[in-house]
Amino acid sequence: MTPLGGHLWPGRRRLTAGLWLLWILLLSGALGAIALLSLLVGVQRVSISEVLVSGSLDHTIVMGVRLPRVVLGLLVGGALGGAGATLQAILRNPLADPFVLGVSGGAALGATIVIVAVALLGGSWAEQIASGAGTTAAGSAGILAALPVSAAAALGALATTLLMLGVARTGGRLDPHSLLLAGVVFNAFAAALILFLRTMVTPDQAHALLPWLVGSLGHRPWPHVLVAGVIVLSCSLFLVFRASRLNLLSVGEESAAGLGVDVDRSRMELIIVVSLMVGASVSLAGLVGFVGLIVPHLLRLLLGPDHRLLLPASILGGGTFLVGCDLASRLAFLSVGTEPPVGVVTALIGAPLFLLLLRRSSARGQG
Amino acid sequence: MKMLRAAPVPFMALLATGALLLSPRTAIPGGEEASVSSRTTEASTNLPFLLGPVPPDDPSRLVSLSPALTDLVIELGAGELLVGVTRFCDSPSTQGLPRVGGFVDPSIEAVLALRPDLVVAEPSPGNREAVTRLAELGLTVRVLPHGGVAEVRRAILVLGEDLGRATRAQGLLNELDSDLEQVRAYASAQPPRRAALIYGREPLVLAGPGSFGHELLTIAGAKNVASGAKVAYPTYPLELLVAGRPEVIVETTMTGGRSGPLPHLGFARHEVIPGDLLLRPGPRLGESARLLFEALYPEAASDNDADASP
Repeated sequence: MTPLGGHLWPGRRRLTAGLWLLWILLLSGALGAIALLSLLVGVQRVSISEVLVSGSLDHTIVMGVRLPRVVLGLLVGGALGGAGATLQAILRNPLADPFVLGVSGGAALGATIVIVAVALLGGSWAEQIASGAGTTAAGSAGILAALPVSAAAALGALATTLLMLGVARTGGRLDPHSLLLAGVVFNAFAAALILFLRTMVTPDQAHALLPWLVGSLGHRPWPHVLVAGVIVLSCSLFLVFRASRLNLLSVGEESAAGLGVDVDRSRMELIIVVSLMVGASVSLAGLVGFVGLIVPHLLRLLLGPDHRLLLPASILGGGTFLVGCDLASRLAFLSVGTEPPVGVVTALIGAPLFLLLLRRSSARGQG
Repeated sequence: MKMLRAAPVPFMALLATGALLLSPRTAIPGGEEASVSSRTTEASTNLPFLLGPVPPDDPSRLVSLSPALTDLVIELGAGELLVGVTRFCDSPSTQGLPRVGGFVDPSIEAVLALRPDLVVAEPSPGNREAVTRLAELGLTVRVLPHGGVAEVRRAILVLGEDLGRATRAQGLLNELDSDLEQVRAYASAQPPRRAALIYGREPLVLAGPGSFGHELLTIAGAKNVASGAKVAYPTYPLELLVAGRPEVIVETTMTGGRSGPLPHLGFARHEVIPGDLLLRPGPRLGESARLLFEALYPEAASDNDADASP
C-alpha cells in the first residue's frame, strides 16, 4: 500500500527553490484571480469605476457584502486545506481529513451545545433588544454571542482529537487506522447528538442551525472573523515551518524514528495545532466537507508529496477552491432564487472528484 | 482499507437525514419567540424594533423579508410601495416583483441593489446575521415579531405608522379585535372541547403551549390536549395523543390533512382547514379563529349563522 504515492511526474522528485517559488506564485495568482472575480461578479452587476467611489451602491456591495465573504472563504478554505494535508501526512492515509476524523464533528458539537443553550436561556432577538442589549445596528449582542461559539467549537475539536488519540493509542503506539475508524464512529455519534439537541429548540431555531451543519459562508461579525483569522494564520505558519517534519512522518514511523524524530510527540503537537485551526474554521462556517480531502489530494498529484511545497500549496489551494465554490453558490441564486450553502457545492464537486481519483489510483494499483 | 474507504458515507447520510427531518417543520413560519411557554403573556411579548438609520417619514421603496409582513403591507393598502419580496410571497399583487431570497436566507446584495428606503423583517435566529448586516450597510430595517395575536396587533399599528397608513391600520385592528371578540363570545357559551392541532404527521408535530396554534385553539374555546408539552412545537408520541382523548383533530391541507384521519384516532372528529390560515399569523387571524371555532363546534356555528342572518 502506497497511500501517498501517485505523482504525475514520478521522475521529478527534487524540489528546488526556483520550482517552489514558481508554484507558490502560480497558486497565489490563482487565489488572487478567484478572489478578484468573486469581488466583481455576483447577483448584482457592478462597475469598477463605481466601486472606487466611497459611499456608492457598488462600493457598498463589493466592500460590505462580498469582501467579508471572500475573506471568510479564504480563511476557512485555507485552514481546511492545510489541516487535510497535515492529517494525511501524519496518519499516512489519503482519507484523513478533519471531516472524516471527527475533528469537525467535535467542533460542530461544541458549537451546537452553546448555540442551543443560548437559544434556550438567552431569550429571543427581540427580547434581547428590548432589554437593551445590542440596541445599535452593529448588534454587539451578536458578537458577544459569537465568541463563546468559536471557543466551544475549538474546545470541541480539541477534546474530540484527544479522545480519538486516546482510543487509537494501543501499547504506546498510535494506530492510524484505528484513529480513522474512531473518527468515523464519533462523527455518527456527534451527528446524532446534534440532531437530538435540535429537537429541543423551536423549528425556527433548528432551521437556523441547518445551513451551519451543512457548511455555509454567512455574515459573521468582523471581530469574530478577526479572532478566528489570527488563529488560522498562526497555525498555518506553524505548519508551514514544520513541513520537513511532515515529510519524515509521512515516510513511516520506523524511518522517522530512525532519523531521530520523536514520532508521537511530533504527531501530538501537529494534531493539536490542526484541531485549533479546524475549530476556528468550523466556528466561522460550520461543517464544510471535502475541502481538506480533495485539495491536498489533487495537489499531491500535481506537485508531488514534498510537504515543503504541498502544505503551503494546500492552504492556498483550499482557499481558492472554497472561494470558487462560494462564487458558484452565489451565482446559483440567479437561476434558483436562493443560495445553496457552500458545503453543498463543495460536496457536489468534491465527492465525484474524489471517487474519480480513487478509481484512478485503484486501477493503477492493479495494473 | 476497503472498510475505511467506505466509511464516510454513514455520516453524510446522517446529515442528509437531518435535513430531511427538518424540512417539514420549516413550513411553519413565525413562532420564533415561543420557545418558553411563559413568553406568550402580553407583558413579555416581543416588541418591534428598528435597526439602522432613522426611517423616512414617507417610505416609497419597501422590501419585505417575510411573507406574513408582505401580506400585512398589502392589507394596509401599501402594496404599491413594495419593490422586492421573498420567494415565498405568494400574494397575486406581488407577481412580477423581484425576489430577494427566502425568509432566513435573503441575499444582501439583491436587497441593496433595490435601493429600498425601508426594509421590513420578522426576527428569526436564522436571519439575524443577514438583517443586522443590512442595517450595518446603511439600510433602515423595521423588525416586527409576528408570532401571535399580541404581536400581530402591535405589528399592524407600528407598520401602519411607518408607512403613513395609521388610519387604515386602526381600521384593520378594530376589525381584528371585533372578530376575535365575537369568536371568544361564541366560545364562552360552549363547553370547552378537547382538541389537537396537527402541524405535521411524520414526525407527528402538534401545536404546544406558546405556539400560534395553541393561542388560536384557546381563543376558539378548545382545551389543547398538548397543553402539557414542554415546547411550542413538540414531536408528540401518538399514544399520548390517543390517551389525551381529543374530541376534535384539526389539520390543514398544507400539513397532511388531505390524507384522511390519523390512525387509532377514529373516535375523534377529523377537521381539515384549507390553506395556511392556521399556520401564518396575520391581520386575518380573526378569520383563522372563526374557521377554527366552526371546526370545533359545527352545530353552534350553524346556529350562530342562523341568528346572524335575518
